[in-house]
Amino acid sequence: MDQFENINLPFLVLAGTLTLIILAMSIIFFVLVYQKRLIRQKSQIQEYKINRQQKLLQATINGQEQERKRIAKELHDDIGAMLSTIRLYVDEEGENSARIKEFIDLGISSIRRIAQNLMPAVLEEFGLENALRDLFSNVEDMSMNVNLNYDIPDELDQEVELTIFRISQELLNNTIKHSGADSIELSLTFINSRIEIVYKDNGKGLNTKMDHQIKNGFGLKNIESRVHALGGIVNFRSEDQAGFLATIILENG
Amino acid sequence: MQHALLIHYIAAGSILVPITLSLVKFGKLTFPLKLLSTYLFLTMVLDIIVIFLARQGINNLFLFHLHTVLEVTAISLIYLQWFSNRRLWKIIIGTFVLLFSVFAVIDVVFIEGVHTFNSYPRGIAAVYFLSLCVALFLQMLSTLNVRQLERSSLFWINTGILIYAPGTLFLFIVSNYTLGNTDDQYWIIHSILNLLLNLSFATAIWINSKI
Repeated sequence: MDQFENINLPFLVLAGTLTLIILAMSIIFFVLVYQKRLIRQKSQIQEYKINRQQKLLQATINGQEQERKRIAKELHDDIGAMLSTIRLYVDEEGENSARIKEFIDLGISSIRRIAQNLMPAVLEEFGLENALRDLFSNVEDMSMNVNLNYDIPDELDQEVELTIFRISQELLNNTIKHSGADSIELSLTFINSRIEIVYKDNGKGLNTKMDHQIKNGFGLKNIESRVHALGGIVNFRSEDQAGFLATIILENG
Repeated sequence: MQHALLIHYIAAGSILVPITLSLVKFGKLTFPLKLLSTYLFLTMVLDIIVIFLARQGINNLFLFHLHTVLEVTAISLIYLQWFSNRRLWKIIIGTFVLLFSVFAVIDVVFIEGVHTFNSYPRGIAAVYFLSLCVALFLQMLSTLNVRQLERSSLFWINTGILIYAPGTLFLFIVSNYTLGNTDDQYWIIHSILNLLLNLSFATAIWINSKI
């Protein structure tokens, strides 16, 4: 007790209390500021990683497209030309020519079809709308009801055009191979500088075990990869016997 | 002094704010907040008994010994729910609560006595709470599992205790020595800090977030 009488105890208590309160408030302030900064940094790193992944994916897809283009060109220009030349000689020889000619014609049309699938010349020369109409005209030949609604501007980024074409190709392939549908609807609209692609078929949908394999298979994953590489959004919806619906949103460029 | 009395009453009554909120939302509250609500309710009951005994002229300081042990146990249990390395913290917190309870008994029997304000256990509890708050803030910074701190119940409870514990540390330590005629004025600091603590508890209950 005596030792406290010589010192200004109330002052010490007040000073100590205030110091500690200020210290506590400083800790809280530090935590608030530092936590916000850390979260900002973390999201920046995450954004950087996503961007890097997108660029990598895009580079892979571009490489794939270049390779397809090269193979298509070589198939068309080298083997196609070679078969055409052989066909000419067969015409001249005469013996068994009709049968050989038939096989060579089959070979030439197969090569054209493969080359066209690998790199659609119509896309490069006449644009996306014509390429899609061309793609869907093949299905119409199979007595399938096709409805294409194309309402987007002509000036689209080349990568976006190719992505839309590849996606349509993939979806169409799935419908033909697995769905048993007799009606397909593809709608492309331009809303607020975004392209909205809606693909619908009236097939059996994806609900069985095998259909799940399709869902998780290469085709739909490929579509997802292409859309994500352009920073877009993709959504697949399917119910048993209620058809298949794909909605894709892409930024133009 | 009228103002001082008013502040004392407002601070004492402020416990009703988190209690009312917890009564309204009790079913939906997370487990740590349910623990906090139960602790606040018990504190209110003790406060009522303290006031009643004071009015009767009976020494009520023995209840403060009891409340300090209750406070340390309850806050420890609440904080234990939030620490990520639960096993390690169970050992640390469990050991502390045990040692603290033993010290509280020693304080009653041998040091300050049952009818004196328990300034030593209170001082130790304040330092302990301060350590828990800092440890939890460090954990929050290392895990970054809370994106908006102001929307976290844990942040508000931690903030309230972090201001209350160091703010009352010196007051509790020297409370058994006279502060002269400034005694009441110094207890106003405690009342204001208590009011802030109850309001931060009320905010935490209102937010009712998992962390």
